[in-house]
Amino acid sequence: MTQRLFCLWASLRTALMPWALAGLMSAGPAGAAGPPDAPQDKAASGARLQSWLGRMHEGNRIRAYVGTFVVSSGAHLSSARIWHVCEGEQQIERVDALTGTPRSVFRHNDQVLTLWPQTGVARSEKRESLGLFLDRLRTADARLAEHYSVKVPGQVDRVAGVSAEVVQLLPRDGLRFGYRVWLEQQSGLVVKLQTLDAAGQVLEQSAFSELQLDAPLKVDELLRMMQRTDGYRLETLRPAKTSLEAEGWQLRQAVPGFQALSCHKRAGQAGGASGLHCVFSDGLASVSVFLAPGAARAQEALMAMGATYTLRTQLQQHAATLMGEVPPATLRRFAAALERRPSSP
Amino acid sequence: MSALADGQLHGAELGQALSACRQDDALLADWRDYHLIGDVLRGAAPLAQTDEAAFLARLRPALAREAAGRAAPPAGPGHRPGEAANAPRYRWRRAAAVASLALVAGIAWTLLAEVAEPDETLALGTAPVHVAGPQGVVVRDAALEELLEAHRQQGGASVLPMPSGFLRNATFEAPPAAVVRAGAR
Repeated sequence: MTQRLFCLWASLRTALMPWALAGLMSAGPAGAAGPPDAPQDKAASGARLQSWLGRMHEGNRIRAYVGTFVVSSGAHLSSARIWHVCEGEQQIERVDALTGTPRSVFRHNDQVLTLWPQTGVARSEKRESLGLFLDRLRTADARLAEHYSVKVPGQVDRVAGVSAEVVQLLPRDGLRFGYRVWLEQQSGLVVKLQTLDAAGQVLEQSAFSELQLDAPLKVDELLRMMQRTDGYRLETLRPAKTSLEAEGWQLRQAVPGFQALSCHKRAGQAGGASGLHCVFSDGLASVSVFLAPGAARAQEALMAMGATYTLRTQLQQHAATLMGEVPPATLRRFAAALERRPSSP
Repeated sequence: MSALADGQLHGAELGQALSACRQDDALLADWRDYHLIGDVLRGAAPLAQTDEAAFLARLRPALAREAAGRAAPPAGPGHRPGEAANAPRYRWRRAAAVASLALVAGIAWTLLAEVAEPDETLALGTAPVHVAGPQGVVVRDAALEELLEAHRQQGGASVLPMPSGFLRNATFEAPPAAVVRAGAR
């Protein structure tokens, strides 16, 4: 159902493309997050943003490709071999890690299978977060434009052997990071992505180092590989869904732009009481809040790794770990806003 | 054999002659003699006599071994690889590569020498290990790494499309340490 609606969106977007491009030709914001736009400018900016995001998704949908993908975060570098096929409403990918522990990750729409050959473990799970984009577009969510603007500097670079145009997604406040996205000119496939801090410094970068577009791949081939789990011990994850309120928590004040997406119970460590993992997102960035009872923490700790910041603190006799690809100020806002509900212990 | 050497056989007759050669070494010897006589009569310098049969007997099994060992496209999850398929062919190249890698590794280890390497197998729930390093205090914490993994699995909560979101998380492995920064920013 979601995939059929996605196809509908894709054809709608194609029809609106000439209008959207005309909007792009007109003046856009000149620099980094500046003074707030007038309402009509914001609406136009929002439309441009939606259009570019649609183009990125369209690129991923119509292509079959094979390539090597590299993620650079801080001083850490990881790479993987990628096979991707999209046929009609089906999308399937295989990602073989080339760095660290050997593992293969298969994704068939929102079903994900991870295999570790060394330990013989296979883990199957459904990632509902992968269907998020469609929901946001269907409800014509204008909140993205409230917090991000789009700027097209007119730059064309060569990435992994293909020509790519650059699009900047700029934050309107200091609670989120900016992004620089390279889209392959013909299809809109995202071939490179940088996460930028307020000063424009690159915190994290991911890109194809090698790419073969229109590779002769079939969905059936990858599906067959995905089904061959002989010799693996299969674990199926179905974490128990819950909500902040159900677990006795609430946000005193919402952090601008961020909405709760999902909440799951986490198994207690070393047989202890179970914890909570809640995910918030502003549409581009996500924040995870982990809460567990007990385990008093002596002091607050802030850690950084590439674009991912982690804040460990104590919230009313509960150990809290907040992490996300957001500035530390955002994590502190969440920590300050979280409290136990009056009726809860 | 004379007709075969003169190229006068075609179709079924040619097929019959060739199968006969395969089965009778004496016919093959005749074939070589006819060609040697022809080369001498034409004044071409005779090549050193090689025994094609012996050469083919060595070549065929070698080709069969190579075909069996050639790496197939990724076999999929059922494949539990041991040695890489191309290892027998490239061992000598690997030896040369190891020498240059040792040089690079030596330089890298010099740079990282101040950072101690705690035991990789930290049990869940153990206290984080703080290690003084050139970049400041470096934390190794198995519990934190587990949370990072959970965050990345749910981190597809972005409208930035695949491959960026999903592939980034599938590609990226949690690094061994996170840097502690004193004070808020």
